Amino acid sequence: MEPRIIEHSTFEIKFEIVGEGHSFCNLLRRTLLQEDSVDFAGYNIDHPLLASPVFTLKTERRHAHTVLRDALEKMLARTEEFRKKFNQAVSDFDVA
Amino acid sequence: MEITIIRKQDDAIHFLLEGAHVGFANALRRTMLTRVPSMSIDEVLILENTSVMYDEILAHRLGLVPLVTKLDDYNLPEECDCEGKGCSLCQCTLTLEKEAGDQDMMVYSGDLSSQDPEVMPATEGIPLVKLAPHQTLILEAYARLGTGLENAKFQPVATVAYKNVPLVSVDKSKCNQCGDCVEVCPKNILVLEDDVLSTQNTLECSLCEACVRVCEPGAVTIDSKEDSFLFKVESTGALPPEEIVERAAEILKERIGEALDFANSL
Repeated sequence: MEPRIIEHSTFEIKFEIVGEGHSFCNLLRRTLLQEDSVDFAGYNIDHPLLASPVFTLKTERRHAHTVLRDALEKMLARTEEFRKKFNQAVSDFDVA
Repeated sequence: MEITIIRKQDDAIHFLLEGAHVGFANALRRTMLTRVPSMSIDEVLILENTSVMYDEILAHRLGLVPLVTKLDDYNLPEECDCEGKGCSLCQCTLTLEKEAGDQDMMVYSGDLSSQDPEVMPATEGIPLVKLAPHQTLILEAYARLGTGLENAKFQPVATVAYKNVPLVSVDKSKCNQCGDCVEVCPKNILVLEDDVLSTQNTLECSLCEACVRVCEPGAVTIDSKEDSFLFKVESTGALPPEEIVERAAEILKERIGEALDFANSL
């Protein structure tokens, strides 16, 4: 994954994520939309084979990059939680 | 977040994921499909082929044979020290030598012999080509790691799907105990016992709503729980199904970590 900034201001970030597709972008969008200070979050893939997704985030009251960081931290924590609980569930199932 | 394993076999796992959103479930599903690497034959050197099958068709068939993968033993070619040229750390050689006698003969995936005893066809009974009497097949095949993003033959999963947890509810005041819904249900979710309609194994429900259509309005309602998912992961045999899920979570974590580094640099 190689993210690249296109536009960056206090309440708005626009960046391109080279090497990613819907899996990551949709997860990020969904997570961002759960935050109160998010005004707009979305992405566009110009062409499914030739283009990388361009993600746009607009916020109110809080800096866009801090909101983005918080959302990513949440995603990371949730994935780690999933991994741990899945491993636990598998070993519990093997014992039972 | 709650996870419960419902069923676990050698090549499939069914689990229930509660308290997550669709975005996460879908990211996990797509990661399993396209990002988890597995071994597959990618280059074939045909030394002799007198069978009726063209070399390229045979090579294509060989590529589709799932191989048992030990992910820790091999590197992805692009991450290997040899820079993708092919070395023993990122490539495994398999050979096949068959000659039909006076009888015709079927060549199976099990006839492939591997340089690494760990990397073998996941199933031995996949037919590759049928040889007529005295036809010969001698070839060398090179397997490497790859991801489903590049070619579907590298996918470690056959099926990976999820559905929302079904909620089947019966309104006893509206039910006239006709039993039509019990007849029509393909999954035998509904049971009529002593004039009382009840439900069983609701996780099996396919949400077809056949029962809703034959019943009195409002007697049976089918709904789905938005934050709970029933996952079905079937492996091709390349990796154990639980390893696929775990690796997918690790890969997803890695990618989020990279994005977080980027966000921190802003």
